Amino acid sequence: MNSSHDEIITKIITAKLGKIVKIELAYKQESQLIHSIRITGDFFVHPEEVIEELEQGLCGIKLEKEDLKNKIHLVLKNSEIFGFEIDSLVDVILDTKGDKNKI
Amino acid sequence: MLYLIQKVIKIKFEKIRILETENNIGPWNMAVDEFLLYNCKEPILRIYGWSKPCISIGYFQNIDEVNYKKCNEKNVDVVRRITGGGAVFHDMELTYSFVTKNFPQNILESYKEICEIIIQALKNLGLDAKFSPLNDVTVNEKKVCGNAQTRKNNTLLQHGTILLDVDVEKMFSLLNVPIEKISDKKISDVKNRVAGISKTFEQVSDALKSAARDVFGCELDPIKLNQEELKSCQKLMDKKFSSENWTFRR
Repeated sequence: MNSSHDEIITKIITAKLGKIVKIELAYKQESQLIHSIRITGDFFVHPEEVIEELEQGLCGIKLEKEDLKNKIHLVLKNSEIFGFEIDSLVDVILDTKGDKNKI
Repeated sequence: MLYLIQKVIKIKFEKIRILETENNIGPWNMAVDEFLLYNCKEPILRIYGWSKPCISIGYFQNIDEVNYKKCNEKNVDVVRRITGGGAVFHDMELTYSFVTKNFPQNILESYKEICEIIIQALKNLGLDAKFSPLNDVTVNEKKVCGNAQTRKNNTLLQHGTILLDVDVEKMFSLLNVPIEKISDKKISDVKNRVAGISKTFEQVSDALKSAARDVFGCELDPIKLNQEELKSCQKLMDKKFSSENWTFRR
């Protein structure tokens, strides 16, 4: 497979977890690798900057449950989150592919 | 009552500085809060208001949550906070911030302890206020005060709004809520969950100061920002809180 022909698909989903979480996802269709991701919403994460770190860290990660879960746990291991659970965030990212808006 | 308060509260201060900065525009208000966070030596309770209505959005929120065009037309400021949480329409309210280097590391516990100032102040005004985890204060099960906090360099900043009155229709008109969701039901839902306390700014301000003294069993020391500190706040406002780079960063 020639990765230069791997089309980038963009999707947006908004989900009500504990708080609202909106995912803007761009991923490569063939390889299913995340090209870019933005996680926004009215949740709380301490320290706050770790969300940007997570968005960067998820680039290049495959859209598969275990890969996402491992990466998110790794980046957020020293953080405190109020408003979503990591497992729910993983599910929402995966749902984004299917474009299933949750609210 | 004081006995009960002292049983609950774990943090103690000898003195709390009281900074009353009156009404200002949104970017200035946020700049002063950030300045206090990074320059805190002693605990400060800041009490302030808004010279014109403003929507503040949470650190993680997408700017698309706000109808920016409509806000411009209606002369409503839009500013991004350094704290998480949702969009807040600042209009008829008293806003406070509290900065301290002495605080419980547990986030819920720290909200609870600092919100005790608000709860005691509202009780002194004859309202049956209760803490509602994680970060709200309610009266008769309606939210009257929302709070948010951040921690930087071992310093905690918590800021929050005490609603004096609420205009839910105006608030919705300035947010990008999908049109199908701005139903009469949605508006009445919010009206059932949120309320103003129908007190004046001065009443709440006085009650807050007394409560801070009683809750923490400490002295109050009124302060003002000096010229150099005001210049630093101005710089922060110009470079950060008034800039599109910051407001539109997400």
